[in-house]
Amino acid sequence: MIGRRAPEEPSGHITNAHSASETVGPTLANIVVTGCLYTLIAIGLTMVYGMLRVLHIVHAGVFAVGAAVGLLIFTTAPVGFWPSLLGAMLAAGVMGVAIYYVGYRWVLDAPRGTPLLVSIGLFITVQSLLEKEFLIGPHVEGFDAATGLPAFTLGGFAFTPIQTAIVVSTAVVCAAVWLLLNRSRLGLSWRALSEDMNMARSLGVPTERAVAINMFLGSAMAGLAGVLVAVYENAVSAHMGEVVAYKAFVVVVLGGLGSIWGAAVAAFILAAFEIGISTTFGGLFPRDAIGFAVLILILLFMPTGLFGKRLD
Amino acid sequence: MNRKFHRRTVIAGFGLAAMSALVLAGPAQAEDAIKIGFFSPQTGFASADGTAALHGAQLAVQFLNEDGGVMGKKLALVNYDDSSKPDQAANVAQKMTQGDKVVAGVSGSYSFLTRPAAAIFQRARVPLMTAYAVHPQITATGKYVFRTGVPSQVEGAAAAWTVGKLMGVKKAALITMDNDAGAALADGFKKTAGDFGVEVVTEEKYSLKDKDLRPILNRIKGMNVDVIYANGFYAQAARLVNQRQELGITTPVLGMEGFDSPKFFELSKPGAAEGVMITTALDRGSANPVVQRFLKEYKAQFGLSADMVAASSFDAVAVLAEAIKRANSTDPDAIVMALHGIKKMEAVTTGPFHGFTKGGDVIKPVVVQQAKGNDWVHHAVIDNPEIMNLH
Amino acid sequence: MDAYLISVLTFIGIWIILAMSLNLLVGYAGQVSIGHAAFFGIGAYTVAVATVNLGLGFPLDILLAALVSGALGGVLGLPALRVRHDFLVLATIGINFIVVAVFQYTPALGGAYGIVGIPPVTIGGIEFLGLYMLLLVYAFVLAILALKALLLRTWFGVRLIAVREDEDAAAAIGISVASTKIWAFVLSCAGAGIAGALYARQLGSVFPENFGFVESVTVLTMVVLGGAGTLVGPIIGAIILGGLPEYLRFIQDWRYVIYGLMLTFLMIFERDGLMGPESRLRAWLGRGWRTLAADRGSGKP
Repeated sequence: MIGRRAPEEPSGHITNAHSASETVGPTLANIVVTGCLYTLIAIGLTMVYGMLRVLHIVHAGVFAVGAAVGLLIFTTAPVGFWPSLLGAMLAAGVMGVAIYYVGYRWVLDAPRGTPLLVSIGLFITVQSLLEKEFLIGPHVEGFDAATGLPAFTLGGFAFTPIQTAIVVSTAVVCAAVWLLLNRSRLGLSWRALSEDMNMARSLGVPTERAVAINMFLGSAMAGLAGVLVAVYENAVSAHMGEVVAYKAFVVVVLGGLGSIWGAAVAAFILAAFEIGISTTFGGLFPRDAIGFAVLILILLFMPTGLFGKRLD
Repeated sequence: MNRKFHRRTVIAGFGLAAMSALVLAGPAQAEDAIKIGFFSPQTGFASADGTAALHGAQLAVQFLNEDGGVMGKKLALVNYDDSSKPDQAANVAQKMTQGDKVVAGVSGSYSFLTRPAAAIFQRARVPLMTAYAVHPQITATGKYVFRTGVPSQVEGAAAAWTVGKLMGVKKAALITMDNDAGAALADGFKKTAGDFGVEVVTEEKYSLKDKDLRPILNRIKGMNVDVIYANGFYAQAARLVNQRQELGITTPVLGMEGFDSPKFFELSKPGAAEGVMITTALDRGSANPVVQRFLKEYKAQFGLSADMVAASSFDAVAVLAEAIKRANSTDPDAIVMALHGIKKMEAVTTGPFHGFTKGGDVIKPVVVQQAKGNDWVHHAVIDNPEIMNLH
Repeated sequence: MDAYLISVLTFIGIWIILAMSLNLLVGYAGQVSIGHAAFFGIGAYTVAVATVNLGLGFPLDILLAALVSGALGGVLGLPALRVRHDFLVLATIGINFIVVAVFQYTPALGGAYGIVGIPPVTIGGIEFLGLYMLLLVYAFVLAILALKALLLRTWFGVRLIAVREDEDAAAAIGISVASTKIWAFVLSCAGAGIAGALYARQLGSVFPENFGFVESVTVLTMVVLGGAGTLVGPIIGAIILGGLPEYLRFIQDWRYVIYGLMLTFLMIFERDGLMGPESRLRAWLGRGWRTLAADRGSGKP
């Protein structure tokens, strides 16, 4: 039956129908914003994963460090939100490069579990350091920054200024990554490295530099996401990466490991399912479990994700 | 390749050597003091509560020693971190009871960590005072296990009373964290709601990891309730009121002692916390000199205003020391007897204290406070026996 | 013996069983899982229900735990037939989250309250606490180690390794890849169930929080650090990672900083794990052992 109409509402339920439409707008806006945040976190991870094929858990640590540095700059220097954001991205990027040179560089040709463990070790270290009083400390700190962007309403979607900043940043990042990948020499060498690192190296692609730049940019995006989440939730904590550590992977895997557009689409699908199900059914089941149930179901039908190639 | 292999060795070797250099020097132990064991999660995801609890307990020991100690001796806190791992809680419980031979223990930990440790304290016949782990079954471990925090069934009932009698409204929506503390509070609320003319319209659960409470709030928005009864710690509490404000929901919020932290206001956006009511045990405006000394010294030493967790741990140490004083003995059975003998007192604790039930749970009034201008303001005291004695 | 040391060693014994069971899946069958804590939890919850609600005693409760964990492992391992590599890793993480959610939201399993009051193992009127429990746990360690060594010498062991090395080639020589994988899941999860059973008995209570993602990561770390696919590797890994947090207690709240750094640098130093095939530590120990053996040989008249 095509174009089936919803059954007529009995007249007695007008108030319910009204209140339902009142919540649809915020719910959709929430899906958009959450999808954007998932995209931002996952794009950086996809870049790193696509090239190094490392289960890069410490990406979540970089995310938390980004938030911490952003807050540090924001509270100590009178520069405002955007320069703090930039500083956080820079610090996160440098941290990413350091992770490569101290950790991954030595274990890339080792068995698959080895870089994963290096990553886990670094993540534990970063989180434990952030717990120290001279960094974030054990408590949650506030990060109430004004972005200077306007709030706006678009066809039932009402966005607060920080939500605007999230949506705009995601659009800018996606466009920049697309340009970089498809319209630059760097993008070309990345694609070559992602296909086959040894082959690319023997063809004269400057491996080290390309990997370092990739780590820098991917990690800077984690830092960007960290600051945006921190301001959005008005909360910075040493353990804010804990959920990101696995949630970002769900997005990357769902999108088909290494596919940047796949990750973006997967981010919105995941956000829609999670929020849709918990809005409709309430807290019957924890949100993470819902997300993973969706992931497993999709993987059963599409074992290499939504847009994945076979990896062998 | 060989050179690279060599450099890898150098990097790893350097790292490992630096670490072994750090692995030196141990802590010194005070001798001939009355040892009180203490454990809480000071590293890991619960380190905020674990650290606050430790600071509260340390302050109690400091005060007691400044005031002349116990039985002519100093008190010493033997502190361990359980890192939110039950096996570590069990290990340190063995260490405290068998190795350090502590006179009594204090748990500044959550229920899933306290319960395994409590079993060990009970078997070793060493009294354990639980600060804020609210699982109903903790004190049921045995006669050596006590609790100074208000039991959840009491606090939940006090909340239901607050909704029905104090606020005088009917329809409540519950937002419950999906751990034992949340479940126990919600159960306490639901069990007594009918008696106070309150109807529970819905109960929405959330996970502590979940930053986004908007789906739940959106559901509640469409239900026309009079009040939201929510539980959680300060970070979740601030998140809740912020997102409530963002979604334009004006339904009043009643929270619980987990909200009772200065951090709640720090993390709330301007105006979002205003008017929120909570049930708690700490009365910041109290004329009791202990309360004022505790709040002032805590802020001075740790640079942060005390929260409910810190106050509970402070009380746990203070009550134990009081029992040791009254028993004039460090014998475990004498301490247990003295604990049961304590009736009304507020000379050493951060709130009025009406003694313990047979099961070892505290009997004390619940305070209702309201957020006004980024501070908690005294609103009411619930000390009617039918609520206080619900155990 | 010091009660604290007994407690630490007992838990290390439990981690050894857990790591050995995961090693069968990761090291021998080549199916990487970061969801093993789920089956550890299923074993623990089975014992909790069996003892507290059904009144079963030792060894029936542990047997039941192994059966339930193994059976559920076989069922939840089914995605592994279709999903490979890092996709499988994520699917196992997902299974972990879903299983913990079931613990947390099922009233019959105590929900958020968990299950408390699990009695210690009692045999012939003797309560197995402290030293007795330690011996019982290590009896299980030895039994499982022996079983595993035997299993790897059978045709099944050959099938496992063939699947790990190359699934397509294994299928080409007539090995049923599907049944090999499922049996690897069943046996591995049954082992985790036994570890969980002992854990529940030792702690006396189970809570959903005990079996999360972090625990799964820790077990996998034990296996890989020690050396996946070796008999002694997981044992070494479990001893190091189980003992380190306790050993480092004297540096108080710095211990997890050091723990993380040591893990990182040990893995850079020994990329196959401490006992892996190319391990320098193993070569060094082997040299020492050969020297020792040679001395003993030459000492004889």
